[in-house]
Amino acid sequence: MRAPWQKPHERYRDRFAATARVMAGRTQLDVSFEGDKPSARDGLISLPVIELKNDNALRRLRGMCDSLALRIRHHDPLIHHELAPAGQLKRAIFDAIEQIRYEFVGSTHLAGARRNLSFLMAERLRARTKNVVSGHAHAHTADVIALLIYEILADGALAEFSGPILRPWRAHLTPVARGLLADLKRQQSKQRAFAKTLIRFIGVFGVIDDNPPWEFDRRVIGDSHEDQPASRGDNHASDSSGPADHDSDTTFHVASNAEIRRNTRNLAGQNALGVDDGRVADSLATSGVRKTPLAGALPSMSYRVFSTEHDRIVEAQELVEPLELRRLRKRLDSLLPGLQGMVGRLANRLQHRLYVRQLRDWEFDMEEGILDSGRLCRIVTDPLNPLSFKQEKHGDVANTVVTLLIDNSGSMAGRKIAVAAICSDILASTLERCGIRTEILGFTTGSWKGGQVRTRWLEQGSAPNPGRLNELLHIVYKTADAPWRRSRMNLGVMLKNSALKENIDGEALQWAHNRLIARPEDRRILLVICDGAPIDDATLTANGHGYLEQHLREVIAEIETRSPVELSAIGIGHNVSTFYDDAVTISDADELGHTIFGQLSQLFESHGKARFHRGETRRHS
Amino acid sequence: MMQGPFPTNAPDISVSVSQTFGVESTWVVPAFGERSEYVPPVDDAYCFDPDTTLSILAGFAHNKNVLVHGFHGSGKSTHIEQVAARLNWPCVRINLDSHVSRIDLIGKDAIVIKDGQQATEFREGILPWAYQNPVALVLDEYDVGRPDVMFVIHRVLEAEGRLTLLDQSRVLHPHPSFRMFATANTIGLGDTSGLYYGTQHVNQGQLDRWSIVSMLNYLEHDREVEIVLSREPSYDNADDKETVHNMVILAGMSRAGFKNGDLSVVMSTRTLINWAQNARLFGDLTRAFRLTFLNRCDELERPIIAEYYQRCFDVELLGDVASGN
Repeated sequence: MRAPWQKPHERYRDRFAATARVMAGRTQLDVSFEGDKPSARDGLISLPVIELKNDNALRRLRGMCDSLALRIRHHDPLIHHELAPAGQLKRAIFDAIEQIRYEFVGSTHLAGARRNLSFLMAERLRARTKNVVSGHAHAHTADVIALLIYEILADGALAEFSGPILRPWRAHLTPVARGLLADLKRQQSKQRAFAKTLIRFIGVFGVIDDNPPWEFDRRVIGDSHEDQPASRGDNHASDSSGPADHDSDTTFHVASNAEIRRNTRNLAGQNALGVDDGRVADSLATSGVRKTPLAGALPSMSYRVFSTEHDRIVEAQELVEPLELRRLRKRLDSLLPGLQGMVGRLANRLQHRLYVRQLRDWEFDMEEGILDSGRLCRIVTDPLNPLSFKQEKHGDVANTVVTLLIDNSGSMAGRKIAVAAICSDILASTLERCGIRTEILGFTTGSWKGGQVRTRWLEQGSAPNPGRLNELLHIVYKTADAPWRRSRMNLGVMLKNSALKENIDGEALQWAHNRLIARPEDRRILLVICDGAPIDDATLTANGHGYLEQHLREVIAEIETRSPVELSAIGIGHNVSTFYDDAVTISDADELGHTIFGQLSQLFESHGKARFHRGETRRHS
Repeated sequence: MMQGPFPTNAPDISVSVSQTFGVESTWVVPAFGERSEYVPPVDDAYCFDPDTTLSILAGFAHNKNVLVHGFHGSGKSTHIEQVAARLNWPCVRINLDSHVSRIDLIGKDAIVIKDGQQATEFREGILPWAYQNPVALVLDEYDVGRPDVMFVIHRVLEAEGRLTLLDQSRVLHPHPSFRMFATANTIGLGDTSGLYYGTQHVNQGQLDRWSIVSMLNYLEHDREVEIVLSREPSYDNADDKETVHNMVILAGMSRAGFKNGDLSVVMSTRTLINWAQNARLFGDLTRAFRLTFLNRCDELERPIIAEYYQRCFDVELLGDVASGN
């Protein structure tokens, strides 16, 4: 699968955008690579997809980007429109020279940008004037005007073109025209004055509107036809896949319900196995780890599990062969570059914020700690004085653990899960640098349509309301104690689409929560990323449609009201705020990076769950 | 004993602001006729920022407490020092950090030998000493000092304040030529930029006692060019001057990039000067840039800086041009 962000251009997108923002003086400006003509609209600069086969191609692309950015900064379309002369030819000259003006004004002291722009200009002129230079045709008046003005602004740059073309014209320049040229140079930074002088200059030159096949409004791209076939090819190659993959996976969700419905009959052989979490709770109690009101299993009113026999909690690397593990991680890495820049910057910002919060302070007059040497002389003079110590106080940030619980259901396959994997990868490494531990967990089921559990239920006579009818598959990508570098291979496993099946959120949440409860850290944050309500065909068919959802709501309510764990959720294209108190819904996986880091910054900025009382700030999507 | 280092006890001459500082103003400010050992050396190349200079001069002339804040490397402390140098006003700088405690500032009991016997004697800290002498006290990194400790200077900041030494039951009176200045990166409301790790919130009651709060941020293009040229005069020719222009533009781009959230570091005026000097040292502008600034940047932000660099110098900083993969 080649995802759209794998295009070689995407590598340049961030840096181009950053540069364009600076050059245009706009905070809200982005760059995209699409189409075959450069254009700028509503805070977006679109650049054509040109094959970056050599330095010139890159320079051309930079030139286009620079030109558009400078246009935003130094060109006022209202003035331009107001003063624009009538007549197609005059208008074309007017437009073209305005472009020369803002490119010049904007690239003062920007040697590189000027080279990028003049490269484009030269390319454009070369194409337009080759007939003139070779003596096959006369130069067009418009070209002459453009060249004259270019020459005067650029102090003789591009003389290789302008020299031969302008030679016959120079002698005919009237003193008035020369004066106007000097005026133009002087007024280059004032659009209005420049435009007025320009109109007079065009007039003096005696341009008659004769509707020639003149196409100067091809603007920045000039006549670089040779680029286009290549770029189109590239475009096709990379755009084709994506959605198709996604569809093929989601079709599994529409499994056959009718067959299962037939089997819901009588009541017998009820398996009253409790929720699996009982075990965790027991071990907690015996090991003497902290006890909170919620250290035990979350009680559930009516939720039952038919059998836990086939439930599995696995380490991600157990799911795939070592060779494939490496291959998947490699694929994740190849997906990374496009997003890495953006997410990396967000991570940096989060890290800075966290550092700032780690206030270090001294506490003086302590009974123990580091000897406060400043007060030693008191002891010498009066041995009866007690020794005075000081202790360093640490901020509250480091003593935190964050769990990312990622929905590994089939509907996440494709872009969503890839972005989630990348984000969790970067998040884990960022937080690790700040001394915060991260746990990355995933949840899905072992098979579609109930698997062995449902087979057994059918064998045992298909009792009604059997409870959850599937094999849970809970995947540990990274435990809180594992260092990031050792777990990073595991994250690739999320790309293994065949592992992504149904999602039973309630139990997964309990599992992740109970793992967190066992942690010694003071502050525990659980961030859920999902893209839909819990779905498991077998269970829902046998128990009614709201069954899993109901359980999820119960679990959430428990955690939100009774647990010290701070729960927060991000829904991709699914309104999670109806489930979770602290929730954000995003429409596109691409927003995930922003949202995760935003959500975490906000959580860290708040002072935590002041022991069981939730903060007042609740956000809704 | 304390009068030793100060030949004159009060300002005895007047100097014209426009002549001495090159700042347009009709002010005449008091100054010392004689230099003493605490007067900082004069840097002839120093360029004064008009607003900041006038605020600092107001502090010297009219006994006001002046707080100068702004981004790092914009020359806040140097600015105060250079004004003091030209007024021959003794000037003492203290760098605050979160380990500076009350006794460091006020003083402590020290053991001395008196008549062959060990005895303790109260040794004044820097604050009481400066308070009683014709000294301009500059508190650097004012916002890094621990807020509770900073209350020590609370009284000192009051116009007609007296400083009470609790340990000694003594009340000190300020010297008429004692002046108080401070520099800070933030304005005491905590760090919003993520740049200044370790800064603290400053108590607003205390901030209120600074009678003049001046903001010194990065200078405009032409002045910054001037400063670099004055620091590294070997650039003062047509070709190199254009290079300095490009350098200053690049610094400006880095600051704009920071504002846009694309970069997490900014190039300060100090970085620019270092870069210009390193470029002379290595004879290679690009290498000097790597060593001065790029290596300090985050790995992920380097491509962006490289892109800025290309715009300014038409040089590929990272050398990974259009490989197409």
